[in-house]
Amino acid sequence: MDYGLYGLGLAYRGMVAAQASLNTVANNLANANTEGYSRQRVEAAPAPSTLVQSMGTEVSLSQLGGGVDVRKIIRNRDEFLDVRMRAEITDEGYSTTLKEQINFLETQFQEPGPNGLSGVISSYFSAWDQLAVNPESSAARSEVRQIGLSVANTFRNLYDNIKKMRTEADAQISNAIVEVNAYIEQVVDLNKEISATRTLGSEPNSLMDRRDLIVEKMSRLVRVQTSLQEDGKLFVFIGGRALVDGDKAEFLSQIPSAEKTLLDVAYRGAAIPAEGLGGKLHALLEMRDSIIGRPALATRTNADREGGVATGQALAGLEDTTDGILYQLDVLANEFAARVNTIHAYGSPLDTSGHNPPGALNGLPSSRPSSGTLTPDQVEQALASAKKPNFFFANAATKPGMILQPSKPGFIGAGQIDLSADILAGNAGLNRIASGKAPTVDPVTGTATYPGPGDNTAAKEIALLRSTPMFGTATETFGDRYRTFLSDLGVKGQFSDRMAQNQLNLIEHLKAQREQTSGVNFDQEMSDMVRYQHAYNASAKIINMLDQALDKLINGMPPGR
Amino acid sequence: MRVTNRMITDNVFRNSSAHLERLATLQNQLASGRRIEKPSDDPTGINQIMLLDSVLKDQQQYSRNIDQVVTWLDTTDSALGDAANIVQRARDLAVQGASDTSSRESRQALAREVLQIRDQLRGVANTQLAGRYIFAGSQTVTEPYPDKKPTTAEGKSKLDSEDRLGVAIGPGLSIEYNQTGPDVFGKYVDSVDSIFEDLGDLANILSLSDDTTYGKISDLIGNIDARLTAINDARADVGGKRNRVELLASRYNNLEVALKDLKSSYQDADIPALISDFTLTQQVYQSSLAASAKIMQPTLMDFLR
Repeated sequence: MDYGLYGLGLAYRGMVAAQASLNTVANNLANANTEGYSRQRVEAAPAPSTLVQSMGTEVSLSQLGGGVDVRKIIRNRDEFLDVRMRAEITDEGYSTTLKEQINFLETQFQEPGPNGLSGVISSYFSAWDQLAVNPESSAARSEVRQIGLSVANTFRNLYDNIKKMRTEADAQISNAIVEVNAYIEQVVDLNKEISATRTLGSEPNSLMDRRDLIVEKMSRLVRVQTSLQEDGKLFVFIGGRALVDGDKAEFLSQIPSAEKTLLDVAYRGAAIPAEGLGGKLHALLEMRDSIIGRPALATRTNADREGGVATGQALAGLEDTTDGILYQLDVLANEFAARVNTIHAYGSPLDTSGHNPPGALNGLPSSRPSSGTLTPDQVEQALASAKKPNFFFANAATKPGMILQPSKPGFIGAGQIDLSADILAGNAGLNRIASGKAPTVDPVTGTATYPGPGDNTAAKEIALLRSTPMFGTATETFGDRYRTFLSDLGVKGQFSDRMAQNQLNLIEHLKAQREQTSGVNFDQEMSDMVRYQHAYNASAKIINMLDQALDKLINGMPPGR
Repeated sequence: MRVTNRMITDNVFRNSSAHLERLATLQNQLASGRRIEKPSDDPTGINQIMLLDSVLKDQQQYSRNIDQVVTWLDTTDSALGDAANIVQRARDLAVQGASDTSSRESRQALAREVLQIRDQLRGVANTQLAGRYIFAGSQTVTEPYPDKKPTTAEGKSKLDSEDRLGVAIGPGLSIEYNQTGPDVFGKYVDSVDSIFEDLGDLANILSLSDDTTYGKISDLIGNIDARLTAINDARADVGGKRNRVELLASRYNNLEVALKDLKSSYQDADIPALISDFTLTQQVYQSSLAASAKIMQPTLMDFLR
């Protein structure tokens, strides 16, 4: 039993432990501001004791302590908090992206304001009113035509800009997927390193910190579930599909959706629905496919183009998104144009030469249908006839030279509305604007008798459309429907705004909680440093003292004898 | 609760961020004068604003329509007044001609005056307002009572229009503002009903001075009386309409002011409230910055030797 050298070993162990602790303090201070860093502490335990026999009269045994053993350096991390944090970050990614997209969508409408659709349509009806007061005036006619062009342009611009948002969302989705795949690869690499380090028995704290940070970044883009294995590898899933399978990576890809130019997110070749994705990807897909949605089926091309539908083709993935903005705009534009066109076709222009009243010659009923509006099929039929009636609005897609033909040319969607060529043709076009009541057609001879130029029946009726119920209900006017539609968008925007705010607050709260556990406090580290310094000094002092004692023992005894 | 330095700095940043965001919003509202910039700012508010906008525009159009109608009615009224005077004069001449005391020469002079009066009346019947004939019904660009009657079918179809011209002067409210030729002056084409025929006949009778024609003068006087009644009826109609639209116009003026006020209450920012909110937020921001400065700086390191 050697007390002397045994004590030296003890003191040495103490110094080593103090050094390790001081190094850990230094590491913590250096990384105090590193993103994702969790503070580390030394896990020390007493070393195994030795059995000591007393040298006195009574034989007894006692345990003498063996000093300190530095087992591990571990990080302070609450894994449950991490899981919770990821879930909230996913929701925040979803609602913030949604809020930003909807805000951008709102600004396209420019409401309230004089340049919005509401203001332009109001001015349009006013122009017809003005014409009704003075039907012979070419100035009034010019105004009607000019503002009619404004209406068509406003519709088309709005439609085009919103449609562009779909392709932009697509681009953002592609970028996000590249990012997710990069993260997946990084996690796989880290898994390999971490499990290798752990087999050697130590905790790869900084690697694990890094891995947690990467998974957190991934969570903002998609909703992931994780599962930590015994060997230290992290498995990452999306809705049951493994993205990180230990050492293997399974990347997300993109496949063409039913709308050929837009892409779906896919896993192993099968599309993942938007709700299953969560996070920013979900928001972008929802924006693209639900909130903005597809243009009305009636306007989609027959050719093998974006969203195109051939006759008899199955509609899965291509149906009308009746809550979507584009569809609603198309319906608004078509109803508006159809109403104006119907009244116009049954009215009399100023210049009656070359006018073809509705009748057998163009397939239209000879008198106004009681339902009020001509159907797209009737319009199409009339346009195809040799004796075309006089329409004010036309479907720009049917202009000669256009490659893409809509599936229903008689349906005038928001993206195709334009003034008819007859009306646009210079001064003659002005006089083709129908302001008077329908001509009386002699059933025997077929000759038409037109009212005088002062008759303003048609002009008055078109102006009255501002308060005429459309859309098959008893009271819903154009203005009512547009306002409701815009108001709904506003409510969606407000809701996602609030959700985003809530999520951000929640995340701040969780971050604070995490800081409590894993954050570095300078004051604490400094006081720990003083503590370990003292411990180091004390152990050093013991060595000093033992050195002296041994010196006395070894060198103080006389040699020989 | 364990607090780290990071938590303190994060807190500082978050709070000053929130204040700055509020300041930015307020500044935006103050600069634009508008409370609502986009639908999500206030979805129900924007509904109201757009509705009021639309109603206001419609009101303004109705007011404009009324102005036009008033001008037309005034012109019609003055023309009818002239017509009444002229026809009255013709009646006087007819009565004079019917009395036994006038000589052949005086009756011929009367005949000449009657013809002149007829031309004058024709001028009145062809009154135009800004290029439109006011008694021509819907054939507003064709002279309703030309000197020479048309002979072609097309020419004939353009006269004697009995179409009413109407215009909207309120929601669901419209007014027919013209008086038609046939009502006031009688049918002209292929007929002998108009006052012009009667005056022509009168002139003929007066210049012939045949005894047996005196009875015919009394018939003509009957026609002229009927015509005068028609003209005065028309005048009463015009007068009534004039009153009606004038009343409407003054009501609309008040309505427009009220609508503008209502719209402003929804749309415009309350500037005094915003300014005081802005000042308050600024003060809070500055105090929070001062407090943050105090708490961020010292650590234990400053005190360990």
